[in-house]
Amino acid sequence: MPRKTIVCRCEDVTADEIRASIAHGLRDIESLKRFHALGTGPCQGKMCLVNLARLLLEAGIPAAEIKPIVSRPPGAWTPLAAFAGRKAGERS
Amino acid sequence: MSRIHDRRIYHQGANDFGRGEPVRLRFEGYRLRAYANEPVAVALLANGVRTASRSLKFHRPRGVLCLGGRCFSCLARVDGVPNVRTCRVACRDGMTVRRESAVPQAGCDVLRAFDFAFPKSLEYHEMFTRPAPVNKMLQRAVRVFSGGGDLPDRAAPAPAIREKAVEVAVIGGGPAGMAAALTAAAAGARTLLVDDAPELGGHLVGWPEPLDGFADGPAWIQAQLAALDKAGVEVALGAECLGRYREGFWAFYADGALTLLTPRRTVLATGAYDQPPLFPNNDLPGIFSTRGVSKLVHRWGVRPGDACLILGVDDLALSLAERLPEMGVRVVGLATEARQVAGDPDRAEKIRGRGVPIFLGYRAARARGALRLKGLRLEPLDGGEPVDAPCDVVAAGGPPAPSWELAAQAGGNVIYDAARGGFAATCDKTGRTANSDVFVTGEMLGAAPALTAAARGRAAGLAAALDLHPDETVAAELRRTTEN
Amino acid sequence: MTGPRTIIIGGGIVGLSLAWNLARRGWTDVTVLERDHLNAGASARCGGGVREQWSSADNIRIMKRSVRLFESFPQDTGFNNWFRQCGYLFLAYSDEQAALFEANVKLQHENGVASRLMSPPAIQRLVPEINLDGIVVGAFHQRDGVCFPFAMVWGYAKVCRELGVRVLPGHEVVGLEMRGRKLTGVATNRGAFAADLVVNAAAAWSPRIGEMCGVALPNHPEKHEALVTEALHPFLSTCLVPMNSGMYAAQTMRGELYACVGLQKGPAADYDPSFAFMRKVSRLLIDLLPRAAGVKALRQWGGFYDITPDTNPIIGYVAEPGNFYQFHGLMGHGFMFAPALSELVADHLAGGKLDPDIANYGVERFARGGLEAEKLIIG
Repeated sequence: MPRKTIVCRCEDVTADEIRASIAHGLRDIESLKRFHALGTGPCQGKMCLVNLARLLLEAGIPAAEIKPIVSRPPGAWTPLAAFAGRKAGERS
Repeated sequence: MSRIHDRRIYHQGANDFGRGEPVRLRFEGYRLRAYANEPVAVALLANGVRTASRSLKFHRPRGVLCLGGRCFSCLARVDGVPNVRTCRVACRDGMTVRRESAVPQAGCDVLRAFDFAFPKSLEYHEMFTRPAPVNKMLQRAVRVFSGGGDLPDRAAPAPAIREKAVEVAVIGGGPAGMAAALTAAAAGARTLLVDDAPELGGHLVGWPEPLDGFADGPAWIQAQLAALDKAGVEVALGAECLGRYREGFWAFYADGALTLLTPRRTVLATGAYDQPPLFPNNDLPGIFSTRGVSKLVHRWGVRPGDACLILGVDDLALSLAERLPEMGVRVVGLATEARQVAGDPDRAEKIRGRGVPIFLGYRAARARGALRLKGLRLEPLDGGEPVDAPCDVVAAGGPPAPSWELAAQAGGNVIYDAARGGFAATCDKTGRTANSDVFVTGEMLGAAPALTAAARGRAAGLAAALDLHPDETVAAELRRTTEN
Repeated sequence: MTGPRTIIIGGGIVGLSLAWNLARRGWTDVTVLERDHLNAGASARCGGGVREQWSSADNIRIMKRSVRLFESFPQDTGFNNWFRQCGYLFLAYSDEQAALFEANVKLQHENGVASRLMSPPAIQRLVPEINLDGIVVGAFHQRDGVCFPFAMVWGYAKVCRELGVRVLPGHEVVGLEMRGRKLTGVATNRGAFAADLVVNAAAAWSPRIGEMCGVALPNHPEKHEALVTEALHPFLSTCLVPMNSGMYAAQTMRGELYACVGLQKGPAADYDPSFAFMRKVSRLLIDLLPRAAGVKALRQWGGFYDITPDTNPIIGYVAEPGNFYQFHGLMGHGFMFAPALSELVADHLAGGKLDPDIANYGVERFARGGLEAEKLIIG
């Protein structure tokens, strides 16, 4: 049975993949996020960013260099229809 | 699923788990027994469906982790809508539920071949770039397997967008949020309390222990509800906060429609996220967060499995170790990397006395199992013989990670703070962030027992209300609250 | 050492593709300075659309070359860019727009691009989910398509490094050093770099770079926003551009629906996402693809178009300093033009040969009133 340690459950990113990238010089969260799609899936990092930070600390990156990803609305995925509605007093 | 079984607990003292009417779900050709107030994810577990989904790249069987709407492992197609969090949808008679993105179906997915073909990693950035015809085939193949569900069956209506203003909005209705709403209202502020779950209380809905003189979490929550009602706090449930837009309002999504909220002060009490453990095969069905198991068992009365290993020895872990056997779940042991028990040592002794081992100074080395959890290997940190614990449930403790996103969107300063368990917004002792209109409280400041979270919430609620309704008595109360 | 000591300011697709082309022409001392990590700027914020359907002959010619380069990118760099040639389908909602399409298709044919007009029934067959209401005619070209934008930056960075180009993220330019009428160096937050040639490829920030040596540039950043939805199984067969709104919508390689549309004109200062954009783009998407109404929006973000007064690029030396080369003003389509433009710019810099297709893009043209505007600007 394959023995993977899953770091990002949404995008199926393994600890081996992350460690390899850190060793290759990707040492900040934004770059790792883009390269692996980690934190870009449905949960937007809730399940994986702190574990990723642990892997960075393990690799010797100082805590002061570990910055959160940029958070933006919509922070929860929401049907497009909800945004398309009329506001009170507005014609369609 | 080879057998239909019912993992529900039907008689637990006076607790009937609030199930509601019996209903039938249509699930992948089966008709499952469910109840009107059960979340679909819970009904599936109750019926022995352990594989909640298949993972995106490797098609590994995935289990539910948090049962709180945060881990997104429970996604399924519900009534023709893809990627629905089944832990957030209540069962309805005739509801169709189908797990997508597996061939032929999630119970047995041939695409798991990817998991075997790529045992450690799959990085497609530099794969098969030459020759061009092979590259084109790779490209087509990757696209075929992309995505998590089909387009919805139908168009959906676009309901009107509401706008609303309040004096104090409290976002998050766990112990801290409820406390903040109570003190803000008592201090004279028109207060709205919002939570994305169908009921208030956060993870306390599954808290099995006596709390502040009440029998358990749900009983304590009931008392808070009565107080909130008496204080005239407006409560909105099932409303998920999408965040703060540059136009200056918070957007919420509830029942298919958006509300744009403009509060004068905001108290964020969105708690902390259960974190998955990190060891090989940490995503197997059967590996839950400890709070997830507690909710499953105590709030909804469903057994997660037959044999449970608990990672962690704090009071919640000890409580589960005591109660799970009463629910028909054998506890095979507790384990922690720490050298001593974090919870009550007398309780721990009694648990040992019943033959349940407590492994101190052990780390979880790896889980085993093909389709679901079969066992967990524990390794002593000091070297020595590992322990292979057969189990089909792991309750993974470990500090949850504070939520921080809404604070960041409002201009708060978010840093990595290991002491708090992850990323967290900086704030003063009342919880005021870099945006002086916005406070953070509760477990956003780090994991804490419920009453500590509530104390934090009281301070934030007072401070928020004080900005709007200056009052020396309230100010004195705030000073007292923050001195402790 | 072959070639001048060259500093390229800007590590997006423009700067990196130029650096690679210079290195391939034998230049050995090329440095790319990027103030952030790779894939922080416009190259990472765009939709990755690539098309040959343009309304001017030079744009068509340049993009024909660029499309070839997108096609061969995996073989050229060893990095997958997932270029899916699913076509671009422009949709006309009025007789005026239909007439524009007819003229465009004619011009495209004259320039060797086999685009074609498409009737509403054919459109319905190509995109079964589409709402045909109001559509008069479509313009379609199969060779157009969409790729994964991050990959282009990573791929170019990879081959740059293989050829000895120094690619330096985290280096923000804070000043330009001049002696006499030439630049002699670039000062950054992490040290100074000597230079014989400085290329300004900083897109929306190019005017700020220009200011550092007294060069006034007429382009400005204009904020556009984009949205992606939850990832769905592949269904959208092509890239859609309804001309009544200028929205661009496509399905990414991961299955997300991507859409972008401009909101308001005028200079922009931040990337903050707006609710107004979500309303506008949601309504447009639902109008176009009614079944998308229940699809969940996942994330939105902002990015900058690099707007010039006449919608054409700013490419070429300025009068003073004489070794300061401009390569920006690429509006909202710099991403797709960069590979081909970089070849032409490298020919100019390294070979002294100025291709007629870019010869009129010097910044001095604005004093004379600028060029004719491109009509197929979208997004």
